[in-house]
Amino acid sequence: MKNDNSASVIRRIVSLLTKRNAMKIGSPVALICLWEIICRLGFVEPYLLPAPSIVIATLIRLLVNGELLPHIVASLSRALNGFVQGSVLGILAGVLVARFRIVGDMADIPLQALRAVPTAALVPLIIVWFGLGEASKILIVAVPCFFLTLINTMTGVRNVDALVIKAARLLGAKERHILFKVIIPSAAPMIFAGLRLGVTVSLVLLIIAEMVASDRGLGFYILESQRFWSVEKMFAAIVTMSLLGLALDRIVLLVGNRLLVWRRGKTLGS
Amino acid sequence: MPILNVVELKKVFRDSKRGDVVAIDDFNLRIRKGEFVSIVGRSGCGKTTLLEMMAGLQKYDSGQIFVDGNLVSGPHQDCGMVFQEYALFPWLTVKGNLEFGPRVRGIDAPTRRRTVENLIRMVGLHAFAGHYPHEISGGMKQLVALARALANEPKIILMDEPFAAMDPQTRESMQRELLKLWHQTGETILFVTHNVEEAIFLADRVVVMTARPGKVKREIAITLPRPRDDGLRMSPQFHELEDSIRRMI
Repeated sequence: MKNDNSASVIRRIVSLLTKRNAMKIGSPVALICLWEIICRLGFVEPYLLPAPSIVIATLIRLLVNGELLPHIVASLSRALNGFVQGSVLGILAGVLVARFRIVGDMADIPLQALRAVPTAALVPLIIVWFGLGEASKILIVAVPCFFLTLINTMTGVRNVDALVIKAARLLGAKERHILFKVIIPSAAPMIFAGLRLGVTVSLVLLIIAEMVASDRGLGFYILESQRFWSVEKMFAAIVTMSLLGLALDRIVLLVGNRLLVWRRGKTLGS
Repeated sequence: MPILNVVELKKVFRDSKRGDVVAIDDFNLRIRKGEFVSIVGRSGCGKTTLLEMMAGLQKYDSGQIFVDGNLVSGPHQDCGMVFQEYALFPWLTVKGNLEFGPRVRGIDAPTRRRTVENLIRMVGLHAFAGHYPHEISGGMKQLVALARALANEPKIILMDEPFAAMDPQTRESMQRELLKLWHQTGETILFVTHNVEEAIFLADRVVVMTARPGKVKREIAITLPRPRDDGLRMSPQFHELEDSIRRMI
């Protein structure tokens, strides 16, 4: 039994050693090595571009001495708060807009107009209205999440196969069943695509907001490090951002693929 | 009392630009409990419209439709429907699809489970109960759709060209499977097709429809012996029927 298990583990590890996986891992490793070599050979000034080894060392140092931690916590909490609130409202609004013609007609032009406004343009206004506190940062994250999930939910709901709704109705489904047991599951792939876009875009907005008006957060930290001409600290914060974004995206992807297991072979991508 | 009684049914499609089109006019049809009736007619003769009106999905302009004595005035669960495009729920497993009807109708879990398990066994898909629709073949999908309709214990099953998209081999095996299920359940079936051979092979009675307006042109009783097997398709009697019906369309 135990042998069987270890054999299957080994088989799985071996199966990962494919040419494609070698390419996938090999190319970033090669890139980082090249970067390291360029820095070591002194082609660039270290105060402009630190070597990857220095960036990693700096990152570890900042994590161990706790300098980065409050900024990570601040950014993460704002991102999660804004993401969850904006997305939940976006999904609700998307369903309303797509399902009720009156709501759809009323929302049509305002939505088209607001969609065209990059949320970054709203940052100063939101700060004027909601102050320098947490509320304005959360709102800045929530706004793009709201619009992205709204548009995607709306599209997903509008594209539900009319025949499937017909079939459900004939089987005795009432309006609430149609909504929760047919429309939402059917639109779920689009909704999750919207959530993934939301994760990426909201982090961009968050950094802008933190640079404009904040005394905490990774955006603030990057700007602060620039003032002290500490490029390796900027890099450390950027790497942290990238890892955070990656982690959030993976979480959404994982939950999505778990819920959308019925689309096996047509997952959300990787 | 017939299970399905359609009396002087009329349906007009209003079109202010191109003028109104009378889709169905003076349509009469009675189907007894347990009967298998096929409707044949050219595409565009209003067969789908007819079925949808029976199921309460479309309104009609005049006349009446009674299902088990009740006048149809909106969607109801006495008609089970099977579509050519299956219309399964892709996010539910085979079992989940079958359970959908009983679940939304508030049937308690033990009864539901019993019904679904019986049906899955009956259509021979027990090995695929946990599969999703995209993982099974077209023929299996249509069996799931049929079982899903049966799970609601309807008074009559309406089938709208259910095998039209299948290759001839699958189609014939689906016809045999359908007859077997019909014998087992004693259901009443109204089967719409444009394939004359299929209509004869399956039915007790073939209704020939004219197009624009859709009307019953002729009803032909099929007295071929049951149970029917593929050899029947070769018999001179069968060919005679096929020829005469083909000439009517």
